[in-house]
Amino acid sequence: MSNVGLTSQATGDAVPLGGSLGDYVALLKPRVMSLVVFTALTGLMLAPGRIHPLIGFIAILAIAVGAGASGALNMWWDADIDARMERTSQRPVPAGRVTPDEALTFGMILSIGSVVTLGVLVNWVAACLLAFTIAFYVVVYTMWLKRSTPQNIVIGGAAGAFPPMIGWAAVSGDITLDSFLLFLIIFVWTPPHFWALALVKSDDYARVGVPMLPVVAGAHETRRQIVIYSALLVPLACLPAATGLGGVAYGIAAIVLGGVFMALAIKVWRVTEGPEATRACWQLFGFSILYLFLLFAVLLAERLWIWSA
Amino acid sequence: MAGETPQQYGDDLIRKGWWAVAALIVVAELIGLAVGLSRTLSFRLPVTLGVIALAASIYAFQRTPVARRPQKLRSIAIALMLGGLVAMFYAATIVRLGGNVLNRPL
Repeated sequence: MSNVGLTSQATGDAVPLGGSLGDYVALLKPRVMSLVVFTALTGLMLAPGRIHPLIGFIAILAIAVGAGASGALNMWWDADIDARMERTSQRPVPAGRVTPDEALTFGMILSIGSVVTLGVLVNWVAACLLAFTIAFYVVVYTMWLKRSTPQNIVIGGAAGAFPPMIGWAAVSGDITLDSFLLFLIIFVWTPPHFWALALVKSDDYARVGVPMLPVVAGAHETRRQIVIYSALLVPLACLPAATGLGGVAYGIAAIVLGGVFMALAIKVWRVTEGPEATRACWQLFGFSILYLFLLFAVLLAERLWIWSA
Repeated sequence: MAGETPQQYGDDLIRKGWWAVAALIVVAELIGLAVGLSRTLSFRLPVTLGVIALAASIYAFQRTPVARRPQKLRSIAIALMLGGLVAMFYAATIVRLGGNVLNRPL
């Protein structure tokens, strides 16, 4: 559908008409946005206190739009390397369907709009956290860390970990240890999740000069780091059961899912050659998404169960 | 739009648009029931205006030449989003301040 918007078909002129609606939706990185919405919703539901359903809906909408806006700004800044990477070359900006200026304007309007909406209609603590998250992702991660250090994804991962904390703050108006625990789980989950992908796509990153860990430190060190972070993640993910944020079902889920996560991480570490190694990386990458989704889903289900009882 | 003509693309969007009108009515009614606003004018008015705006947008899109449809679609999307934003602020104001905000001498 995207190339409909490329040129004036009526006149045959090569005058750009700007991207189609689908291109602007693609700028928001909808798949990333869906995980952000889900984790933010979990934070919102777990927080102590009550929120009117409409205000809760607006909070989630503003967080989703803010996350999408930072995705658009990321695509604006990274258009040069996106164009040379197989995985990202068909994104709207490198493919020429949306100009960089259009992506920048779109991202800025949505960023400011989402923060102001969250502040005026929900509360300013959540709005400040959202503003900080967008700035962190765009300035700290995209503009600075991504092209300068192999620790880019470790530190930059904080941006993806904030949504449950923002959802929590939308209800309670503050930041607590429990909401920080949700942040920590996603923060520690991000490196093994992303490095599993980076191991497979390391040639792409090397070609464009992005210093991902497999490019700078090699595949062996990356595999070792994946195991270390997985070993940190599994007990950390069990903590909500100990603090009372999660119940027995969550504790069991965290142990079982953590066991599978650890097994897949060890498989990535041990199988280093041939198509089996690539398959192990894809397995860990795919399961890591399911792992985070299920952990938060169980937390959410337990809370709904308590409410219904 | 591999294997799809601009005409088919437009027809598909029009079909989806009418489904969106129907979905908006159902979702709005469900939200209205959930938050206890479904019978009030303050809730019904923006929903009705929203449905009319969406229907008018589909009509305008249908009457646009095929080659100009992507531009028209973008303009309609921006207009609907701005309208939605106004409706959202309106509804949130009612929710935050309470129904009594309308119950005053004019």
